[in-house]
Parts: sequence; structure tokens; C-alpha cells
Amino acid sequence: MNHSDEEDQVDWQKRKLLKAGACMLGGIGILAAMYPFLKSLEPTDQQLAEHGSVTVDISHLHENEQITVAWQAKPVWVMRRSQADLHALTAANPDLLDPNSLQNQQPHFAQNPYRSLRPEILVLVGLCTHLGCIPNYATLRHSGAQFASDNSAQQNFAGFLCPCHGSRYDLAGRVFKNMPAPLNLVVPPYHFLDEHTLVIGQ
Amino acid sequence: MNKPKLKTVFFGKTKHFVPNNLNVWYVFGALLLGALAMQYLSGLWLAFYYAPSPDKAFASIQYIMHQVHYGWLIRTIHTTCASAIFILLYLHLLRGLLYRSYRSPRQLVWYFGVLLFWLLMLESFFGILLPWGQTSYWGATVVSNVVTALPHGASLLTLLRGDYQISGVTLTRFYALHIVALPILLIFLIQWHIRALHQVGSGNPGLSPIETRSLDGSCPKQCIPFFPEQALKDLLALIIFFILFAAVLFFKPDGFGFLKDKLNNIPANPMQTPETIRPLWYLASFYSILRAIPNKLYGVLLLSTSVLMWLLLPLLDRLSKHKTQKLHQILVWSWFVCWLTLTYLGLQPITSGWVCALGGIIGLYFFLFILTGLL
Repeated sequence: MNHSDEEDQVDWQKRKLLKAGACMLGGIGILAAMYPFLKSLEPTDQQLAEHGSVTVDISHLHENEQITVAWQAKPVWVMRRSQADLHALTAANPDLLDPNSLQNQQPHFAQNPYRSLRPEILVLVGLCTHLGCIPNYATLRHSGAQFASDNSAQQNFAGFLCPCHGSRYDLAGRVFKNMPAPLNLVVPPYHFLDEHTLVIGQ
Repeated sequence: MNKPKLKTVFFGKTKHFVPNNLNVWYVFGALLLGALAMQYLSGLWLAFYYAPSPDKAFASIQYIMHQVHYGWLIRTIHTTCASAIFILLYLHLLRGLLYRSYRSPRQLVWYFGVLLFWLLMLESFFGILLPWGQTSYWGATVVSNVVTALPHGASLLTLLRGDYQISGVTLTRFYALHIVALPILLIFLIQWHIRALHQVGSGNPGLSPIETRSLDGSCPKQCIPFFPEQALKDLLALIIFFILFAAVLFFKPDGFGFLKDKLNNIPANPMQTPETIRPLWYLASFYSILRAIPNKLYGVLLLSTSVLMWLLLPLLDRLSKHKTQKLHQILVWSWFVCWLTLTYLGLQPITSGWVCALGGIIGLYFFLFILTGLL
């Protein structure tokens, strides 16, 4: 083989440029190609459209009765609270984490002690803000280490208890302090068409 | 030029030797290979009949259990073997702790092993959703919700599930990950785990370094050839393992409720969380840690710590020079007792009574682990 010295010479400058160019363009290409793949993991527009509104007839809802309806595949509770329950909600409770609903977990109209449009009608998304289990209606007792700051100890009251990790909420879906759940339960957007018709989702 | 030979393609060019003082703790790696192979085959056979859609998943499992010839056997092998793999994995890890398998020069082997541990947990998490029963659905709900503790958690959760709740989209997604993505990753990592091991050679219970690599193909001092000496020992262990496995499989297929949850005989209901929800036994220690902290973010952070802490061992080992094997082994066993307690408590329903004690046990769990690495 007859190579001249010049032919054997490797132009390192040129190779460096080639390498840098290839890496850069390849990198941009990979990033661009990732986008459609990541985007495809998101819910489709149709899935979003299926999440419209639900109409609920509440004429048969008695006092202290709770019904569950599906909205966006989530359980939504509708409950008619008694006057005694409402009275208890307005009393200041030092054991609540966010008693005045300052965190953005409800529409503007529900930022009141009852966390509802009409005081007696409670509408809540029934998913624990900890890890998403459905809490159950329960009679809770103020006692033990978790309610140390409570001065009316041993007083029974109604609320919601999550079966998975033990988070407790009051009858307005407000979470108690020192619970795994960090936020109050979500109030969905809703309005009333008339006296007995509730529309959830708008 | 030499033509490639089939034998070297399969087994590599060099002959492998192992220290001649390996005890019974050193068979679990081989047993894991056997169990994973069994899981792969039974899984493939299940995929022939399983239908990954919310309307059909639950029914297709019933179909496999009652109609398909020996379907009950294939499915029970798969559910039982999942637990068997974790028993073997924990024993394999315990061996690593007892005889300091993470010590230099075997860090890389250790890191691949820890990665395999994580991937196997993920593989089991994706698999649990597939029967579409109540345990499946709510287990997947709770575990996937862990990402909501991160910044932009809600969007991440939607991206992971492909829907606003666990749905059919989530089911097919988890199915694809369970049968394609993770098995391929596992096969690669197992290869690298073993190849990294072959580069440095096995450790040994005597802890004095034994050079197992041979330059000329002759057996090094204090060593025996892997084949057939250690291979036959592994085979004997595998036979004993299969006998024990078959005993559970045929006489106690639900493993006293530890292997198969009765609750999963009820189809998934997105509108009703079961009264008591129990994690699988091999994830129960993590569950204990997660629910012990009455704060979502810190609970998730502590859970992550308990998963990531395994990576620290090679570093901890280098930090201190004072080592006593006897004290080290006492520490490892005390740590293991803590782990067992956490596992037990993770399977119990929530009662506020033991919450304070739980905090102490978790503290001790982390403390002993770090001490084990140091001493």
C-alpha cells in the first residue's frame, strides 16, 4: 500500500467539529422525538369531553342523608346536614388545619364555614387528599394524642374517616391537624337549577 | 481469525472459579434466576388468555382459573412465585448485608442489584392492577398517588395514569409496562449484574479477599471451579426450593391470605374503598413507613429514603475502619427484626395505639441500617 504522509494525517480539528455537530443535532432530534411520545401519555380530548356535568335530583334527600354520584369517574357526595351540624361547623375549632378554607380546594362561592352554596347542602369530591381513597362517614371521637389541643375532649361528633391511612375530616370536608392528608377535601364546581335540582361540574 | 464458538457465545471466554468456602447463603442468586424464569414462563402463558380491559380483565382471570386447562395451576404459579421471588430477594439482600457484598471492589455489582430490587417492586406494582379486583384497584390508587407529593404532582399523576382516575387506559398501560418494558429492562440488568460479578469474582463469608480470576485457566488458590462444583450445589438448592414451592402451591395456594387477597375476588369498584386495605407482605414495611408520618410530603420523603438507602452502603463502608464481624452480624439481625416488625405492623389495620411505638421502630430501623454499614 502506498499512502503518502498527507493521506495518513488525521484532521482532528475536523473530527472534533463533526462529533460536536452530530451530538448536538442528534440531541435536538431525540428531544424533539420525545415530545409526541410523552404527549401521547396524556388523556385525550375525548376523555376530557366525557367529563361533563351531572344533574342530581335532591328532592328526596332527607336530613343527615348522604348520596354518592359519579362525576369525572370520581365519587361526589351530596349530603343534607342538620342545623346542629351546621352550628358545630361555625364554632372555631383549633384542631382544623385550614378552618377558613384558604387553600384553593373549592370554588370561590364555597369559601365559607360550611364550604357550600346552600349551608345545609354539602357537595364534596369524596377522595382523600392524601393518597386518593374514599373516606367514610363516621362518628369521630376527640381523644388521644392526635387531638391533644382540643379542650372539649371526649366529645363525639360526625365527620369523615379515611380507611386507608386514617385521615379525618369534619362535616365540611376540612381536614384535622396532624393527619397524613395535607388539604381539605375538594368542593367541585356546582350550581342549583331550582329548589331540587343540583348540577355538578359547571 | 478465530470463528466464534457457541460455547463462548453462551458462557464467555473465561472459566469461572468461586471461593471454596461459600456457604448456603450464596445460593439465593441462582435461586432467583430460577424463580424469575418460572415467573417469565407462567406470565407468558397467562398473557395468552388474559384480556387487559376493565370489562374483561376480571372475567378473563375467572376464565383462566376455571375454564383453561391447568389455568388455575399457571395462575397460581404466577401469584405464588411473585412472593417467592421477594423471599429469595430479601434473603439475597440479607446475605449482602451479613457478608458485606457491597464492599469495594463489588460496588457496581451492588448498584445493579439495588436497581433490580427497585425494578422488581415496580414490576409487582404494575402486575397487581391487572386482576382488576378491589385490592388491585385501590392498591394502584394509593401507590400511584404517592407522586402527588412531588411538585406538579397532579399533572404527573394524570400522565402516569393516562386518565383522571385509574381507568382502562391505566390498565392497558400498566399491562404493557408489566409484560414488555420491565421484563426487557430486567433481563438486561440481570446480565449486567452477573457480568459485573464475573469481572471481580464472588466474595466469601471469610471476608478475606480471595482472587478468583485465573490468567492461565488453572484453578486459583482457595478456589473451586464454578462448573460443576458450585453449579451442582445451586441445582440441589433449586430442587429443594421447588419442593417447598410446590408444597405451598398445592396445599396453601393463598398462603394464609398473604399470597392472594380474598378482597381481590370482588371486581374493582371506583365508588367504594374497601374497609380494610392491606398491602402485599413484601411491600408492607414501606407501607408502615409511609403511613406513620402524619404529613404527606414527609411520609413520601421517608419512604423514598427507605428505598434509596441501599445505595449508601458502599459509601458507609469506606467511612469507618473499625470493623468487627460479630458486632456487624448482630446489628444486621437486629435491623432485620425491625424490618419484620414494620412488615407485621404494615399488615395491621390503622389503630392510633401503636403510632408512637411505630415512630421509634422506624427511627431504630434507619439507625441500625447506617450503623450496620459503618461497623
